[in-house]
Amino acid sequence: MGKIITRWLASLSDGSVAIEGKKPFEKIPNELSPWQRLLLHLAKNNLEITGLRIQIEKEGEPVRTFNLPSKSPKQKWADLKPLIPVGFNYFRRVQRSMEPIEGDFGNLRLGNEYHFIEIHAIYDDFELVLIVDEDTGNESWSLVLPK
Amino acid sequence: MATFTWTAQLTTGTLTIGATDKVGFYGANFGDAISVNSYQDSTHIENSSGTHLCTTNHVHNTKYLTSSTVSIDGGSSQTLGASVPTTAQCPLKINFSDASSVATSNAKFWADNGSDVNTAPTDVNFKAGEQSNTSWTSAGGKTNAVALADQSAATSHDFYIFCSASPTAVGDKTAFRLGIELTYQ
Repeated sequence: MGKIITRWLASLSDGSVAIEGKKPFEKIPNELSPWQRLLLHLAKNNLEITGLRIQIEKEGEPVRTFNLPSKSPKQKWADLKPLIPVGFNYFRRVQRSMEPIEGDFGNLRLGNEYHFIEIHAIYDDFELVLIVDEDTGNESWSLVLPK
Repeated sequence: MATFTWTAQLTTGTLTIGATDKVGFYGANFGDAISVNSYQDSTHIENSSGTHLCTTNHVHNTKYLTSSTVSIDGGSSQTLGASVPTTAQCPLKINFSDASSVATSNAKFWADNGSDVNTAPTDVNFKAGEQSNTSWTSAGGKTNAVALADQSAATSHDFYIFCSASPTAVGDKTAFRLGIELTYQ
């Protein structure tokens, strides 16, 4: 399997697009994460996120993009009059387990680690959550979570 | 990429749990069965060849007594609190690290049946808590997980876990798995 890179892309209220991994939001060891730096950038410049999406890149080529509803009146499918989010959020999620061992009853051994990237469209009463399997880039889940 | 490292904390020092190492709950000594409806009296780690790795420096053992009390390493009952057990006395230290400085949230720790995260282990009562918790959590299934405290931005995050397991029926327990999950940004 080729190398998979996942990233968030945030459309901002000044018309720019912040991209995880691209300056000034590249990943820098021991410094605040790109998302934390984006939050500082928004506060400092009195900006807000107007749209958020996840992009999957395989072997150097973007192959898939997952979009949340946007605040933009020009968003695709605007004619369907979708609910407009009041905000956005982003997380990465990681899981790891100690698994039972086949044929060796009672003992546990480290299992695989699983990584996900997720973006949230926030509404007054609920959040629309889009989770993408970061290890394969192939599977995604959409959830509506009440607040 | 961000990763978890599980470490067994011993009476002296620590032992990183390697990919092929095995961790188990036992009766009084390594290899001893736990009596039905009793909680473990010792916790051990061995390598893939079955060699016991904590022969002299044992993994700390936290045994459930009541919803708010614990026996640490076979000692008398103590009330769970800010320093009971201490971070060093927790049998598990689970470290989460990332190259960047990230904040963690919604971390949780649980035991399940090995196939469905939301189903409690089969024939096992499992209790756990995060260091400084004042009561045990019956952490069978992810929906009943121990909620671990959020941590502010850093490249390394340690979670200190105390835990205890009790069989409710005779026999080896194969539908029993421990899990941790968190979100970060």
